[in-house]
Amino acid sequence: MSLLNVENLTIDIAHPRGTLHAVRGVSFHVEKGETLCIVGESGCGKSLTSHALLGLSPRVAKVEAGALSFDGTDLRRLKERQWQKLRGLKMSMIFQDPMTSLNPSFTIGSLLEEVYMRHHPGGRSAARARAIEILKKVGMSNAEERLHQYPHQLSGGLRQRVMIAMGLICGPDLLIADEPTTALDVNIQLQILRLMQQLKEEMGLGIIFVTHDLGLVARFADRVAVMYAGRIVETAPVAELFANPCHPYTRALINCIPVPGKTRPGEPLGAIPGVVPSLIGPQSGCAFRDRCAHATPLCARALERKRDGAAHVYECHYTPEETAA
Amino acid sequence: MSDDILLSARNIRRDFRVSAGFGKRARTVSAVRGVSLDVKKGGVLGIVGESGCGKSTLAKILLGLDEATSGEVLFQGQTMAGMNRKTRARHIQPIFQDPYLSLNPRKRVDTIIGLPLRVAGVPERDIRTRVAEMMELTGLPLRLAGTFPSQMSGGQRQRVAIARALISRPELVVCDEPTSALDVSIQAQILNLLQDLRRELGLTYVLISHNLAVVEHIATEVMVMNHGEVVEHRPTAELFARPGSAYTQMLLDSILTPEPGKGLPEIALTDA
Repeated sequence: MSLLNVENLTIDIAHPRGTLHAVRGVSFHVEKGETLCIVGESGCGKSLTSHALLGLSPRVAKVEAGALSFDGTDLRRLKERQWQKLRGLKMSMIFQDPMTSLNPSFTIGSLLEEVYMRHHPGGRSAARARAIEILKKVGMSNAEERLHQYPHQLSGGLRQRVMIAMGLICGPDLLIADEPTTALDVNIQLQILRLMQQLKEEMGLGIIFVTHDLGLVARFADRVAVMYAGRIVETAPVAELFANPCHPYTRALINCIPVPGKTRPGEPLGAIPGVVPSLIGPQSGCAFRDRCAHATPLCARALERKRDGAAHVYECHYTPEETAA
Repeated sequence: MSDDILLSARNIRRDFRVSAGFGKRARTVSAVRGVSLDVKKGGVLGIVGESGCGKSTLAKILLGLDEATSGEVLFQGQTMAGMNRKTRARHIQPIFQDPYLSLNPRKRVDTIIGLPLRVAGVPERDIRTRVAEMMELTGLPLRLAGTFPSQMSGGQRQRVAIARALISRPELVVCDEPTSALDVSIQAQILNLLQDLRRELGLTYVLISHNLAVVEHIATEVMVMNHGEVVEHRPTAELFARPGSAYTQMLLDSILTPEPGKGLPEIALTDA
């Protein structure tokens, strides 16, 4: 049984001009000790998807799923009280911006202790000991002193470590990270990634990492789900995805990024023409067809899911040979 | 001074006074510490470094938006110190990082793009034709002329910013992180556009970025900055092939190229 299993997740949002179909039937699973990267561009629904896993969807969103189970628990039936027992204890989230997601009026110590005490009855001293332990674990020097500091006294990298420490203090089984390193310098990004990888190996943590950075995906993921316009258009183990991208969107995305030593300096990059389609109103067929060089009338009518090996699934009527440039 | 140097900076220093708290003496923080550089006509100088290394402060000084504590900026061999803002704006234009912040939300797109010409006193009729030309050149459909920035996508907004920067036909464009707020597919569109425009209009760029892959792709020369100082300044290919300092090497090693199987780069990490 998978740690997390999502089947046919849809998220609709009411909009003055009709229903916005932000997430349109997404299915995936995460195992213990596995990193799943969800990659996609702004507006593809990757953040909404990850927030829905923790019951943190905005009130206006209508979330439905064929299955949504975590460690044997059916998440669809949970009441807010039950969500609160789960969040932070069994599954937790690291948000994108450590500058705005830490409460500025509490010290690092009280932020961490609050998370722990919410789930563990017992005194503050036990919580304090645990806070120091977890700060050391995330590589903060002089943890005891840090407890008395406020978020504004820390640099961006340290703040993000505090966020991670808050996420990990109760030893969860699943960590959901929504672009946790985009605001950081490369050096600090690497530290955070290494830390997460280490915790995954030591504690068997399952990780869902949401990002738009394909370079990061290649180096960090075990499996990848590529999202476009509210659907997972391709999913595969990381090496397989980069060696044999099957969906035209995945291929176009890979061709967009300059790679030192690979792309020729000054030569045009493989930009994707056009913009993402509107997801308001009824949707049919492949959402990428307007930007795809290989689209045919068939693409407007229906979707087809194809398999290339056991774990490699993509949604296109045509094989990669047929859509090769 | 040779003719092919468009812009040069001599020993630029910028100090900021920072309050250390009530009743304490203010400290001085040097954001830029004695930076000299030459920008060759028709070239692209990439300036890279981590946050806080002084690259954006330097950009502001080159643009004349901030004044150096000491040192001078020369444009075509002439000091910019006494140059008035309008003259300077004719020669040098900026493109900023965030097209959500750098465009006036209450003005329509054609007004935004035409502003530099209006300031320069160009007749309204000419402005209209040149705005239309510029929109075509930057790949903006003319039907967007009457819309507001809020109705556009991030890529379109950055095109508006580029059109506005280029309409007065400047020789030099200073781009401060022009694509870091954009999605990768849009980043590729904008980078291609910047390259095409440079060739067509014979522009010179100063490109400030923390993304080394982007710099490698666009820049002809690269200047690496750390703690307000120049670490090295060399032609791009040379710098990427044989980095001349441990700091540059560290920056290059930390690029996450899309090569699965390689794992996270093994570099010595500094404590943040």
